[in-house]
Amino acid sequence: MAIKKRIIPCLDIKDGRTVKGVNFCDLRDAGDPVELAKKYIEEGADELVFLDIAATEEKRKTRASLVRKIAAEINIPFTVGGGINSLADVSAVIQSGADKVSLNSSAVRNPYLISEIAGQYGNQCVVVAIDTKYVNNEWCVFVGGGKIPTGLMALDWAKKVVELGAGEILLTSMNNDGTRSGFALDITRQISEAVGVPVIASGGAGSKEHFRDVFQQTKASGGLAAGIFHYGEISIQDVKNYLKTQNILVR
Amino acid sequence: MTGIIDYGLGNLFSLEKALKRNHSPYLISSLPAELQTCDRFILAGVGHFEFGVQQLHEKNLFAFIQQQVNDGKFLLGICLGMQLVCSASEEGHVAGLNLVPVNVERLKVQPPAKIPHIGWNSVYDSASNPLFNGIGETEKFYFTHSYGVLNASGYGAGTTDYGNVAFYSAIRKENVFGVQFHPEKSFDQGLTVLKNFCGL
Repeated sequence: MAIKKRIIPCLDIKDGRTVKGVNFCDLRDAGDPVELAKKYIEEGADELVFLDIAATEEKRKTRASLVRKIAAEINIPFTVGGGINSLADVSAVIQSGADKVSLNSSAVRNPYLISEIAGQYGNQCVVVAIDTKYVNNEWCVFVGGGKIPTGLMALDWAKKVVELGAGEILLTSMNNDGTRSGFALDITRQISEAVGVPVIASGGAGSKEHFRDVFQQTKASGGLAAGIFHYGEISIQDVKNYLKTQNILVR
Repeated sequence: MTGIIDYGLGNLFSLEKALKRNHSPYLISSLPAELQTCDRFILAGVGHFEFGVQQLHEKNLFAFIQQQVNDGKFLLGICLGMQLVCSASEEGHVAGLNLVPVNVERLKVQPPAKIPHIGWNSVYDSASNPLFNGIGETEKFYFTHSYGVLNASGYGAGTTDYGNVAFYSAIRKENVFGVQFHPEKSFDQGLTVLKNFCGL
């Protein structure tokens, strides 16, 4: 029996609340993160991702206390991102109950941070989140919550972060984010075929068929979604039950 | 009383919560003087093998753990902790605790399987392992690692398949147990593994 495809709800956090936007803007409140986390575990979530989306923007550190509160309620794995700029930040969130950290802007600013964290906590602890947008026929990397272009190409950057020690890539298509039009299959396919570490597809999930498509048409190891789960339009269990009927292995 | 060994690398908060949920008495400490009152120990951890060994030495826990095991106390190594109880690892040029005389190697999987092995997977051949009492073979556990025990020299106590590779997801030598997955992150079946260990 092979490893199972993972369904991962993501909690974007701002000021202690879960929020969700469209194409990284127009944030709406989506509820209490602790309550949502508990609900997702009951529904069969394989992992949780917690992104403090205001942390980078407002130069704040990830709120260890909220991480701790969420971790106290859950017994499945848990990734924390947002404002992770140093080994000390990593230590703080790991000690608060996180299993992995997700780097985004800080990895672009200081790629060596990836190696530093991997050297101390192991590759499996370091997720590099790549926010990418299709501009002039190319998938470009953006940071700072999608506001700042970096000049990097997504595929090149993905290969680079794996070389540096990233154990997983969380790939978000900004074009698809919040649109419910499905995952960006082309760039997800390119990157998941090019790198030897798991790639989690993110941005655009709007139906259970979108998860089928990303697992059948790319080598993604997991699918991440926020909005469709937060507002209860579709449950994680619905997605998993459907994937089983499509002969896709899930827990 | 279970002693959770704090050597600076674990996600001990989750482990603590799991023991709390199980109503298993525990203490967390990095101090041999405090830990020695315990009758069993858990060595958890996320991290690099060599760094883990260095931390154990730095905190005077390396020889302490070996001594406690020699005295007959139970030890459970989780993830990196399981690797630390082994003799050596390809991930570093230092000797492990050598409580289970096996080596840790990098998982050499063929594409499309990915490394690290991250996610939920099955454990087989665990029928004789008391930590798996009451757990069916259909239950999945959460793994996140790049290295593992490929040859267990008779100390295997559970196996897992990943891609073209089979590795030992559980090992045991007398009073020393190891699991490669994270029971504290493996939902109710993981809590059962911890409950079984604390009840030995």
